[in-house]
Amino acid sequence: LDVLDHLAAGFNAALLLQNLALALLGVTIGTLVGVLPGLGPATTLSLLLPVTFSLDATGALVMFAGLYYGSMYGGSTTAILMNVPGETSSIPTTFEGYPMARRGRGGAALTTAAVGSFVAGTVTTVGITFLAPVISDVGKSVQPAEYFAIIVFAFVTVTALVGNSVLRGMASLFVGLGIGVVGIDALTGQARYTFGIPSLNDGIPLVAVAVGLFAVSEALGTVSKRPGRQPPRIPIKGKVWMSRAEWKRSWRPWLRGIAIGFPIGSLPAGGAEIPTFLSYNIEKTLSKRQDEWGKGAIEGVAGPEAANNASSSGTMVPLLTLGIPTSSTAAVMLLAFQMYNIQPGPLLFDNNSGLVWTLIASLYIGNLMLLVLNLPMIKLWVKLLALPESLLTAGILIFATLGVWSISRNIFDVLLAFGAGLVGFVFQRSGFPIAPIILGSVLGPLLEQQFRRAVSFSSGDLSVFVSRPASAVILGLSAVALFVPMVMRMRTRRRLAPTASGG
Amino acid sequence: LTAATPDPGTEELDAATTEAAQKPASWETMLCAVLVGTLGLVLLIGSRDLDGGLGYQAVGPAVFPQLVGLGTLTCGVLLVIGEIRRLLAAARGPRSAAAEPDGGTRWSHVAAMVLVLAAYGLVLEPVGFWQASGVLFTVLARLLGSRRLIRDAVVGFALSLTVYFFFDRVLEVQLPEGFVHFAG
Repeated sequence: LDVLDHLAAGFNAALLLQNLALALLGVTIGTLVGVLPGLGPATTLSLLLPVTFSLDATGALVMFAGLYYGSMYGGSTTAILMNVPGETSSIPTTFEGYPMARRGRGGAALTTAAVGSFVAGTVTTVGITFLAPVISDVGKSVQPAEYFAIIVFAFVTVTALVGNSVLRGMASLFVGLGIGVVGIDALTGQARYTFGIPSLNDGIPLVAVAVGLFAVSEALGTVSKRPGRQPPRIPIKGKVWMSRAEWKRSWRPWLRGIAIGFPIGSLPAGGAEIPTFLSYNIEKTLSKRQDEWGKGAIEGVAGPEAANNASSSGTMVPLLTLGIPTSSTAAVMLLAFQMYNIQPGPLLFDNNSGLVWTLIASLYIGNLMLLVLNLPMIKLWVKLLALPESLLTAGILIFATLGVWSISRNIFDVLLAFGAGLVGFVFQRSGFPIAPIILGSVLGPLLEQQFRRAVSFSSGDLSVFVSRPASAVILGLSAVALFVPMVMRMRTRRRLAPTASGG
Repeated sequence: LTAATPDPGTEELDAATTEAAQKPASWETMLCAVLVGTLGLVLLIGSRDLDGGLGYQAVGPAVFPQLVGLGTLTCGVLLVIGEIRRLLAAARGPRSAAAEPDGGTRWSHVAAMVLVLAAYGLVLEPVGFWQASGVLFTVLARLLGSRRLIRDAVVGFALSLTVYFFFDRVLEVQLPEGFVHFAG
């Protein structure tokens, strides 16, 4: 089988001692940084971009695979032990994980999260192995009008499915698209919105924007609050392992989590965080021990954690095969690819075959390493949670600066990151989501490229997007995805309105 | 009130933005709304200088920015209108408690951090990475509530020097050297 040959070659490259060491380093550093409270995978990855920068492309991506899994697991740890989710999709883990930790079963919660993530990651990677080449082939025949429609669909779903204010989400998205149009136009060579600043010719440096929006705004958030209200950390008592009964209660939720997470994650649509919430609700409905929920039911950790891992690994499918990231984390991954002038998309599997298969092999390896290394060392990682918040935040800002500087060696980028941090801080406080800004700025250029190609092919006829059936259907779905949640929310708000004013 | 026990699944997912979206009008949201609108205007006005250059093009370089600008401006205007409506409603309705539940935002600290970061960015090249970062760490730790100056300075300079040597010498990411030259 062709796929297996490629995969074998990928393993051959990934199992080189140097690449193994990089995967190990990635998993370790990823966990180390991801376990710090408040640092989700997207923040962790954008902070750690510079560490990979001196490596060759393959080495960097191998390490990135490790960082990715490590930072996700680190995020689950803070969700369970401190009630601090690193990202939206870890929120369900706090519902049962934190009560478990308070009951003295923190070790079991961390184990079911780790083993569940491992199982989910492995099953999902098998899925990626066989699915990605197929989708990549399909992707090659996608015409510009349809490509445009798919990206619009991804944007709309990211914006409309999460959060309560569609208008704020759209505003964030358009700000991102606005950031994306700056720089020299690829087709005509004309400088757009550069205001004579040479640093802007290549566009607004998106790594700086990402570091600012994620890391610097986090630091500003910390300084804006009064100190001394750090959530308490629950120490792990006893053995870090599950009892026989806990194993029995975990495996079915894992499998269900995967079944929900992978299909949703691998769609070129936003909402990679939805499966974890879905999984939580399903496990709660199916459970025979309703009285345990809210007090630490292990199914409520096992299911969402597996779903989370399956879904975020699933985002690799649209990222690698279509070049469409559907989460902030995937967007940062795309930036990492672009640093090496690699453009994920339908041609990736032809042009960079060796690299892609090494990356996929590294996903298997990173996953296994995470399980083997982290579980025994979890007590060590947990010690990091005791670091004072003041030192942590100060350290994060130094790393943020280091990261931005090392990519461009340009102080303009550093100041831009600080500025983006301030904007991100104020925007977030007012309920504007950050993910659409990043996705808009990263994907905007691709959207424009497909838009212009589609209109060129139709000799300037703008109706091409609705006259082609496939593109019309996808755009129609986008409209549904945009307006249905809006209408539903309006109805809920109207229903809740009397209670709100009465309370 | 049976609605008081929300289903944690979907409710929490929305909680972060719901809270802000349903808060009474604030100068912050207004500021964001105006910023969004201004960006839209800048995009639209700036696109007038863009022309297609030579040769026939179905879509020139100005079209997409114009569409984005239009969308951005529309979002900005709708947000501003929403905030004004909320302001009017707040003026008519019963006065809600002005105090924020979280005990207030320390804007002075936010401003101080922004200024410290701006200064740090400006002196980074002339002063050097580890020198400026050591000082930055110490100052920020204090701003963030730490009261152990000596410890913070020791940690700050140890961290900065470690990072400097690892990145500048091992990974060969050139960092600003500044006024102290290390051999090697």
